[in-house]
Amino acid sequence: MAAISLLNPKAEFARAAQALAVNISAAKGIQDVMRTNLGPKGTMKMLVSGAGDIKITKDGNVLLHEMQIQHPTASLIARASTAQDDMTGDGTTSTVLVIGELMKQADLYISEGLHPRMLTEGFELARAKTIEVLDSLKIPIEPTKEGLMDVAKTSLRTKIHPSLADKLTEVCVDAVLAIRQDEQPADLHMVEIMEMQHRTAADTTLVRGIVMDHGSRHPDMPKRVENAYILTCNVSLEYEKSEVNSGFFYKTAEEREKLLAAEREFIENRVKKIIALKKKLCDGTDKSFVIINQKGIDPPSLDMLAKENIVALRRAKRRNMERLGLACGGSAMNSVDDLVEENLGWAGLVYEHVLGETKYTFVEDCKKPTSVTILLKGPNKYTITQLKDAVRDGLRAINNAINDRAVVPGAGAVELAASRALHAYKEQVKGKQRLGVQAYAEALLVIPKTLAVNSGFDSQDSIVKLLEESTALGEAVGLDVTTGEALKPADAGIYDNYVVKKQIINSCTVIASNLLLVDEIMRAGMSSLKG
Amino acid sequence: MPTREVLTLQFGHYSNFIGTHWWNIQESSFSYEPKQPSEINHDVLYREGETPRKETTFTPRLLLVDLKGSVGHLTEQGNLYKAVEKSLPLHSDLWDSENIQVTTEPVVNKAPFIQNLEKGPADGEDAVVNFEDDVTVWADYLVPRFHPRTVNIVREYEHQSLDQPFNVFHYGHHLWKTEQFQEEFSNKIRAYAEECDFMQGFQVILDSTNGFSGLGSSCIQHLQDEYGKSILAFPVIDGKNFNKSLNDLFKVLNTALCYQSIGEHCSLFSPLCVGQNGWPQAGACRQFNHLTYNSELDYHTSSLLATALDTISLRYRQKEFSTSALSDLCADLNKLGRRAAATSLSLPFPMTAGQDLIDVLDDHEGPLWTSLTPSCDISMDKSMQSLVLRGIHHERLKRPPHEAKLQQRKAAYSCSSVHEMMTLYLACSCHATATHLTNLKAPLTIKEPYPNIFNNNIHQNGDFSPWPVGEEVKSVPVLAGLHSGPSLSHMFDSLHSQASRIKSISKLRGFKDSGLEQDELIECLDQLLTYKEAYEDHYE
Repeated sequence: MAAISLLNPKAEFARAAQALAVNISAAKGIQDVMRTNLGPKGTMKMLVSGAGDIKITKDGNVLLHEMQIQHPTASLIARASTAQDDMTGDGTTSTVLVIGELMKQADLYISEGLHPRMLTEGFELARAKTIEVLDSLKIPIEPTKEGLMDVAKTSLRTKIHPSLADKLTEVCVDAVLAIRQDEQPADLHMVEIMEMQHRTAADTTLVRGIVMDHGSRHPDMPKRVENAYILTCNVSLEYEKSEVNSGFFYKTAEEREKLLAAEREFIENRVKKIIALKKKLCDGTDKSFVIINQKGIDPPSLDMLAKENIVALRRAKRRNMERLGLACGGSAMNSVDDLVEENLGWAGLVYEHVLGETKYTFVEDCKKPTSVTILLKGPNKYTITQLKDAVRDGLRAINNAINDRAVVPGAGAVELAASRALHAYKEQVKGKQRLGVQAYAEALLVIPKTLAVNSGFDSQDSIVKLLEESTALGEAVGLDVTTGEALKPADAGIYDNYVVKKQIINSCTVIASNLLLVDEIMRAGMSSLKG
Repeated sequence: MPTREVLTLQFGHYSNFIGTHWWNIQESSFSYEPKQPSEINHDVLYREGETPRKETTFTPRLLLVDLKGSVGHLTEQGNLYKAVEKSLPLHSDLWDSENIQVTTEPVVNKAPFIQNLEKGPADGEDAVVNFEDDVTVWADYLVPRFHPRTVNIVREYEHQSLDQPFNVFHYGHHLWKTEQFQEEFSNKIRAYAEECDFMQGFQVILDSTNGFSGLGSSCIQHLQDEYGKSILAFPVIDGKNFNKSLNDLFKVLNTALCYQSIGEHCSLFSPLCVGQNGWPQAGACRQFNHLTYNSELDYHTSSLLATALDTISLRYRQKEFSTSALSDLCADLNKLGRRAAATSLSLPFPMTAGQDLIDVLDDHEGPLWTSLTPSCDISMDKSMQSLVLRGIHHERLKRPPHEAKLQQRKAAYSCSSVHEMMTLYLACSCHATATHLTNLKAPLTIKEPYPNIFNNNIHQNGDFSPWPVGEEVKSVPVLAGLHSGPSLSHMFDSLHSQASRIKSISKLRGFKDSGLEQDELIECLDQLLTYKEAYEDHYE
């Protein structure tokens, strides 16, 4: 009888071995769902909702978000894994697999009577050792295009079809390199991701400038201008009636109209100031003038601007204010008083593209753009969604590599090397903790094993081959997913992020240890919530 | 003056029930005859668009949010702009065909009404429709088709889930901070705003008892920061009564936090519920003289609230006086920190068959309207009010002089319009009250899928007889209004006393885990009292 049942007879509870069994079966369950996705040869999952909405993905993070996980332990693992993704942009599937495997291995020893505490202490030793191995495998890289292509390709190939992945790799690497300024860490928000629902996914391109999903709202404004000054501002150019005056104060409609006209003049003066600047800078030259405003612009103001051949865009994204400054130069203005040329940006070409009811405005040919746009194309929503998820992760992988100034060999090489090192290390460990180290060494092999299975090979065969090869060569080897043989990741250009691996090792150990140490699960007070 | 657009946002399942009725009502008031143009400017709430096939569309300027599994047969993108693919795509450059695993949820069956709607009048017999039994989600009686932007489905929580219910204010608040809302949803708001030439503001309907209260409040705060336009909010509570449980406290606390937040960020808000109390239980449903409805059916109760909303909003979407904007409505009622207003409805407006308005008003006893705001009875006196009357034709005003007889003795006989007579009536019967009255000739059109809740003594034009007539009601006159007066203080008082029963938040697990502090609860309670004090006057 658990203590809780004295306090609350309705409470449901599970103790010791039973509690552990619950946790282990949950970890295995979620591992089974995710295991087929790992690696470039993993399966895609297509989820079709009852109404017919389609979602296609291979990304563990997306899958975990889509699944409604009922089991509390499983949902804890899922949350930990998606948190991994939030931090580093990759490694969700691996996290789930390793946690599941650690639990499975632990189960073998615990069922023979080992106390979970011994195991978790062993896990901790093994974790420290694994990090050591990981550090020794680091391959330093320079943040150049060549250096980054491989790590980006490795990441993208696990998310989308290889032919597309290769195409997107270059787009992503170019984008990150473009926004990187000197030695500072890049802000990935400065890569705008814009979607256009037409053509095919292979038409996705990088635009060295900004693409916005709105256009000018006046028929007389030019659709294409060259040598343009760009004014980005956050100034309302529309008449907004305040709520200060109650309608009860007006006697007649005419009285109100008069007041409106007077207030409108205030806005008109702002527009006139912009026009004055345009006249000063552009009249008599071949230059043109574009306003991109975060606030609204009403038709009378648009009229005035159109008469001066000024292109005006309203309600730009807040973040585009910053991006435009980086792409074109100039700065976002909060007032139109005392405008000077230095406040303005410059672009060689600004043009409009209409697709259905949406207008797109391209701001291109910038002098030295440090903010760029990835233009995603695809025939339907689910294609674009999948591309978007992949591109986000690709960008993160590149950025991680730049920040780490290093990569580690992929294709399961790290796990294999660590497993070998742990087997050697275990001899030095005294006491029962040794069993924990051993379990850990076995559990890490789940990554190369699953890779082999997903590629259609026998997992035992492949592991044996890899271990032999690795011993013979004395260096880290990975699995070739096309032949099932060993390969040197460096030769094939398969690299993973150092920080992702480190994160996986750390978080898996902590979560698995915590789950193992649980000796009582209770569920109380929930019944009163139903109703 | 050109059209002044309004963007509508609906957060939550019950809100969408109301919204669905509202858009259905609006669609039934479209006039396709050039000779009799509608008095309503539909461009205020609708937008014109074009599909990729170059067909013109006219869709609600609307964003709605609901949980996964709550939208029935609807797809997120809708089928207006792109036909839903009948079979699954087989080939694509996205995957190898041998390497894909398809998981299909069971297909959702369409309600009979939707089946009839889709197949058109020509092909075959209509399926038998019984809304009371058929309707499980709002999509089951939805007439208009939406723009691909409109439907937003929350993937993190499932509809009516018992394990991870979406029942805490802060869950919604956190949800607003996810990418789906920060990026996608706010970008959709921006896209709608960008299309508008003279946007007047936003109207928001939000469930106030569950997590949507937090989501909606966060969104309202975003709207205020980003656009600075008038925001009219309607926090709603469904009319169902459950057994007493801990859940009641969750609902009360969500509602209290919701009112605290939107009271700060919107221009005006009016709580809606068909139950008299609203909290901790909805309570007995409000009585209407000529209606019989089932307060346990969302399909019924939401139609009453939708009728009130449709009628109140006529003030800022009529063609005549197009300058009359949402900001005026809010400015009229939200003075002195009185951000809350009560909503009233008179359905049908009690016109006795064969009588004129002058006699009806003269003979009328008791209040002219029923309150739809929980724990708040609307008095006629000492308030600011905005009323809208629709469906009283000029011919029903009074008799011409040679037939007038007794009517001529009444003071109101000198009034030459419905507007004038109503204004006079209100001036005489409401003490110390300022009234803004809007009147439209067109009545409320009653058309399927509006529920059949009228008693059998109602004529087809909405007049009532003392005896059963058994006609099918086609249209009814309606009076509805927003009132800002001392009675609102009772609403805040009652909510405050219910919320004060929560001594410690640690009992309400979800709240504590998601970041509510005891101090914040105290602050919230104090704020409710501050709101309450704004409605008290001490002139006597």
